[in-house]
Amino acid sequence: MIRENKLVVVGLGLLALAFVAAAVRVFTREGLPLGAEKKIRLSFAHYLVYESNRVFFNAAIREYERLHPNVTIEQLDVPPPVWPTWRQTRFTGNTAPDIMQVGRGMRDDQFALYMRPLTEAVHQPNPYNRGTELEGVPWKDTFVDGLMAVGQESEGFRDQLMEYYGVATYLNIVRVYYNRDLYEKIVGHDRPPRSLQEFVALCEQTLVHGRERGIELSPVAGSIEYSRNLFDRVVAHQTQRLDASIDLQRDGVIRNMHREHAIAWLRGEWKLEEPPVRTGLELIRELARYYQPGFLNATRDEAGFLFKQGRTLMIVSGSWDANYFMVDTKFRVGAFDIPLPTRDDGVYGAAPRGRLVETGGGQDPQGGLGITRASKHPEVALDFLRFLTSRQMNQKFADECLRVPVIVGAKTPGVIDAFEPQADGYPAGFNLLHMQWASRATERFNQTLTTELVRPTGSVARYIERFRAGYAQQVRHDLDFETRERTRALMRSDALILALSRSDGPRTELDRQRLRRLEEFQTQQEAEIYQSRLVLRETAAR
Amino acid sequence: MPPSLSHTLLLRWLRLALAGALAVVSAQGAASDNLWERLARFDFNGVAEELAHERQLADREKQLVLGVALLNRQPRTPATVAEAARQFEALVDTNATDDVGRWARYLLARIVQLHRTPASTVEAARQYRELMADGGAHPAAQRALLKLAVLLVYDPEVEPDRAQGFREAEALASRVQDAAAMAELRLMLGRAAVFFRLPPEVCLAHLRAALDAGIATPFLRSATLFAVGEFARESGDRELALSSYRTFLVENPRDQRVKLVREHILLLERTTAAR
Repeated sequence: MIRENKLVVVGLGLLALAFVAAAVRVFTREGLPLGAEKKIRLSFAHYLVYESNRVFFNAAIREYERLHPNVTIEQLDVPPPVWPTWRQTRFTGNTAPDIMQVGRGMRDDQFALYMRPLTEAVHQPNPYNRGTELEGVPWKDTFVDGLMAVGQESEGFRDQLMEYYGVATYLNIVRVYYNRDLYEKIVGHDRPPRSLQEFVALCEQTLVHGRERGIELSPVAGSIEYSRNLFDRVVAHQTQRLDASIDLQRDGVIRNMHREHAIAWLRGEWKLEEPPVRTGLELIRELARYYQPGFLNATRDEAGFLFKQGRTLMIVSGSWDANYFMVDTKFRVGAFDIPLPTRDDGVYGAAPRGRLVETGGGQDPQGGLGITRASKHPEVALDFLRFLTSRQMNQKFADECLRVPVIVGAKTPGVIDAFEPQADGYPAGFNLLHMQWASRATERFNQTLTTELVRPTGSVARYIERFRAGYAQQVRHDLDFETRERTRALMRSDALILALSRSDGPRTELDRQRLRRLEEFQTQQEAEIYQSRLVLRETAAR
Repeated sequence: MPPSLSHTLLLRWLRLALAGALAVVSAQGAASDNLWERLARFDFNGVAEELAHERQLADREKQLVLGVALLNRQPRTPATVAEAARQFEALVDTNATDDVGRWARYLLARIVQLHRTPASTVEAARQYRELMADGGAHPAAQRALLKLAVLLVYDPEVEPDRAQGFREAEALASRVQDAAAMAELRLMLGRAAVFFRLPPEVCLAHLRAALDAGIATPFLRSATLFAVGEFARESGDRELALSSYRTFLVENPRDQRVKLVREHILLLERTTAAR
């Protein structure tokens, strides 16, 4: 008993001692001498976790600190799977870093509440482009797409808020990666296939090569995700012309891709049996033969590993994987554009318009970075963003991280020149798998049916039969969900419009423009909601 | 030479005290001045909480702010929507025709149309008509006109006959007061004409009128220029098609439709030359 009391006394004593020591340390800490300039500290968080990104950002930060000795910047790279939770925790705890990446499902309410608009800034020139032909050009126009991307996934301009919130850093472009050493062994040269026929012949040669040597060798490595990189493009290419007939605005692109396509399906304006869709499905089935057996059950990592081990000749993926596939791989890796059917193709050449365009809205820029409202030094954070998205720094980023640059005049690095975006082409049509759309009912439905399309014992006819039987219900589910979601956004936009029109603050031309655009967009959005409702109602009995 | 430790500490405490006092003062100022700005940043919960403590809100503007905050506060429940409606009703009871009163009436119609379950588009349409009847030039009445037009065009509860609804919405154009609202209305009608597969000349008439009135949103304007080109081409109006496509190219040189538009222009120019 006495011993226990002694222990308590000793414990309390130690605690008191630690407290006193801490207090003394806090109160006697030497501050900066009066008159000395205090360092500005910024934090910068992103989920680009490849080592090369971290190294590049560190170097860029050091360079910026050299130019601005009163600033220090801390980099935080957060793994993508935990990013959304991490981000929300930081937002609600008011501990968000100064600069944040703005992708991965960030919602309009999060943008409005936690991020600072960059609208005024993007209309001003980027001073870090001084001395180049971009000097004096508004910042937004220094991006290859003019930061025009709109819609739910946009990492720059948010149409529901009519504000710019992020500046992009790279483009994601999909190509075929190939094992150049193996390729040369199989075909005897290093010239990539230039047509669909050559691609199919290459796949056949690869299979023969494997059989003759008794090795397990598939032409292409795939998983659900990787195979979509090819399949989605195949169908979107075949349906280029069909899009013109389902285009609800006749504006030449399917802006709200899945709503327009869903409405057209419910109205009976496109059918699976029609040549563009059917030929797309037939081509998928033909190409699926060249993936490794059971590829739909493989994970993304397994498929990537198969390629890295040299057990497949190719893998279809985006420029985001260039670092993974082209660095530290035991063989030389090259890349080439996906050879889609050309007009002279007797089977698949009739439907498409031509090559798929990848600029000007064909592929939306990614890697958007924005400034949080929690930032205590937003003007410094803005300056750092300008520095990071200057042509010179974007070129360095592209070169060192193997990315497709996003600033006008910056060049795609030579080692990945096959990823140079295709500027001379036509808008994509629609595909059958609808990523990120509404409640994703149609996506799940299609994924279960893809097996029917690609397995050796399956068939296009059976796929179509099963698709037709269940698709309408899934489309209705998604369209209904989307309509409710958009109605919620509409409710908030009333508040936004009223708030802007009654706010007493100083009004600039940009403010007035924003208000007018919000009103205009709201009316068109509202009309679209009622279009969807009308179609759901009119087709309910079918 | 650095100052002594006691001086540094004293100055640090003084600075802290001053910053604290300034923060309190500026927070009070900000609370009364920036409520609308906070709503524009979607800080609905914060504003609702702040104003809930002010028992008697004499200022009608603040009452309107509170109503909007309550309407959008999360989590949104039937009770919060009803509370917001009571707030707007109280404003209307006091004065239905001053500026705040008219906006409160507009928001009550929006509650009926969008926020309540089940919604009543018929009742919303009735309230929009009333608002337009006694003060059509007021901004709230002009917004009501546009909302009514959408319902007339698309909602079978409000108008069972689609063609009749479209005609009634077209007729509302005579009551529009400014170019911006006119652009909105004609663009909505043009897009409806496309949706209902009406003849190209109907689509063209409205889409061109919208362009003439001035579409403010760049992506809506580029979409309309392209559509006018398409319908003009279909209806054989080569000059209009050419001018619309050319304007599109000038305004959107980096757009993904550039190659398509250039081809259309080339074809139209060849046809014109052949004639």
